Amino acid sequence: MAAVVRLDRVRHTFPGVVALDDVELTAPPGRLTALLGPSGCGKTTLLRVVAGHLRPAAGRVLIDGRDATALPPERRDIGMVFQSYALFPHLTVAGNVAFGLRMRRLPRETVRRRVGEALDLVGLADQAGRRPQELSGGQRQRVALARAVTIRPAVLLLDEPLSSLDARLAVQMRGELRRVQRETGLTAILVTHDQEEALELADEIAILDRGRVVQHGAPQEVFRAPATRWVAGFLGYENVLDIPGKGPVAVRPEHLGLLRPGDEAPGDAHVVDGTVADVRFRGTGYTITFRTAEGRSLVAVSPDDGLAPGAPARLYVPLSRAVGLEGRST
Amino acid sequence: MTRRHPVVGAVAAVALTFLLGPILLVVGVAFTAGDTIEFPPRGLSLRWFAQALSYGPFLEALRTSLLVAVAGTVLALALGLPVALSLNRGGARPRGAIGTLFTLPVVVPELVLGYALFQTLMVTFRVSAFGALLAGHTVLLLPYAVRVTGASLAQADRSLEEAARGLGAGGWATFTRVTLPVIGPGVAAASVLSLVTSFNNVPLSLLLNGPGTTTLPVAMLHHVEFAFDPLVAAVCTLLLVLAVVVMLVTERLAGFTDVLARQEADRWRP
Repeated sequence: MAAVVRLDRVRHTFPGVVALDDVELTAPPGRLTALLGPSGCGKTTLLRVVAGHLRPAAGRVLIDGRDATALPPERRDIGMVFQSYALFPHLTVAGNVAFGLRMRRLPRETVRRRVGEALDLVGLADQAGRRPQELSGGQRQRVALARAVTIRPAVLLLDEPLSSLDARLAVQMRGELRRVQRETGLTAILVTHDQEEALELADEIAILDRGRVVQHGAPQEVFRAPATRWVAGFLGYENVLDIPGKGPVAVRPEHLGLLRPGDEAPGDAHVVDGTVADVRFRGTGYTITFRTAEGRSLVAVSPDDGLAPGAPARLYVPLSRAVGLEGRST
Repeated sequence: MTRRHPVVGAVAAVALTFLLGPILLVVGVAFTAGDTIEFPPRGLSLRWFAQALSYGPFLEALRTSLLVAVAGTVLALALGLPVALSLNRGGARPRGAIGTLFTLPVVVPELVLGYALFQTLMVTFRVSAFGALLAGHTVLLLPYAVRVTGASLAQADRSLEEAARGLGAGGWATFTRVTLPVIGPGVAAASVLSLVTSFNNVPLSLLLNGPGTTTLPVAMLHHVEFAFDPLVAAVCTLLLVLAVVVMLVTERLAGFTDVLARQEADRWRP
């Protein structure tokens, strides 16, 4: 049932912008692929092309090897969860979930059974008769998910499904989303700008920048070895510095160590001298901005604030945490 | 309580009297037992109401009015909804010019429109008076059909339609099962607005008047030209009641003022 989605040199432009720049991408069957990128990188456009709401200027969309580029959305067999949920306000929860099944002209009994199964899957069996307007954000999100999976689509598309929820609920719903995708075994494509969400949910991550896939791989691989300087920066490798013999490297703020007077740096580390430029409280600790002797700005996090702006400081970079940027494109 | 300047209160009282006074006067006159229009009425009676409800020419004119209003509204919606859809969803270009074109009947003097239709349809093409009247009212109502349903469409979340398509609904099923129910209040408001506009219209109805196509307002106009009895006052009172009922029912069903306010805001936007 689970299908492979392949994008073959998909290109699309809006007036003045290349939204998709010859995108090549394969979403493997039964797995969750996240399209991660900042707003305006083309990820939603890409999803709309897969769903059939947007006809690309060039290139092909292949679903299980079949060219679907010219197929209208209703003939693509795709389930989609919208950012706004797009629940039909004039239908009940059950009516919303049944919509796709009714369009497939399934027998009344089958529709009823499958609506029940879908609502059970998302834990909303007791809300079947209510209207979407009467539900909380999290419940609406579940109805949207149930509506999309109950048609047993070849592909499940998720367009920023958690971004309208408040932060805590969004984190909670990640688990739910993952469970439903695993239980249904659907090929899924998730669009998100939230890297934590992508890292936690996805089997594979494709990072998009200005309409191009700049890196595609397993979450650990993408996170530990960003392919370009831009990806490194986007994934939170905020510090770029030169290490003699290693060239330019990128380091995450949480991997920069702070040396107290008299402390020794660990064996395989590079030490940088500088002064404290700024200290900001961030709840679990402090964000500290340093200025190095060469004038670079480095950001570190520290659990305590025993530092004042202007104070001299020593930092160390564990070499195993430094991502070499030599030879990588920008 | 906010304190108001006494002058403001006085001006408001004068304005209210000016607006409501004549109407109350007509209502008062309608209840007279006498034979002429006079105020205060000479004795109270419902005889002019009974008279109005059994006066042949008015009943026939009422039938014509209702027929034209209903048929004109249906036609205007049948033509206007597709226009609104293509303006808001489809690729109608140039959007602004087409939108303006369908608003024109609101600003073109109705006498001009009526005369033009009279000349073209009735004189040149020998269309029946009823056909011409219906065509005229349809044109008159088109702006309401296009603009009010358009405002609803502009408000509705487009992803609802995309969701329906994705779930397997074709274009027509999406329209009937999702778009139409979602913009239902807008369609209802457009219908009420059209019915009332057509029912109240005088200039077009007057110019496209012919045998058997006299609408109620025109019949009333003809009547007051020659008679001085309170018959028309009674009809006016009945129409007032009807208008209030229509307002209340629509407000209840569709949030009329809400949709109307949006449509007004939309109309004056460049």
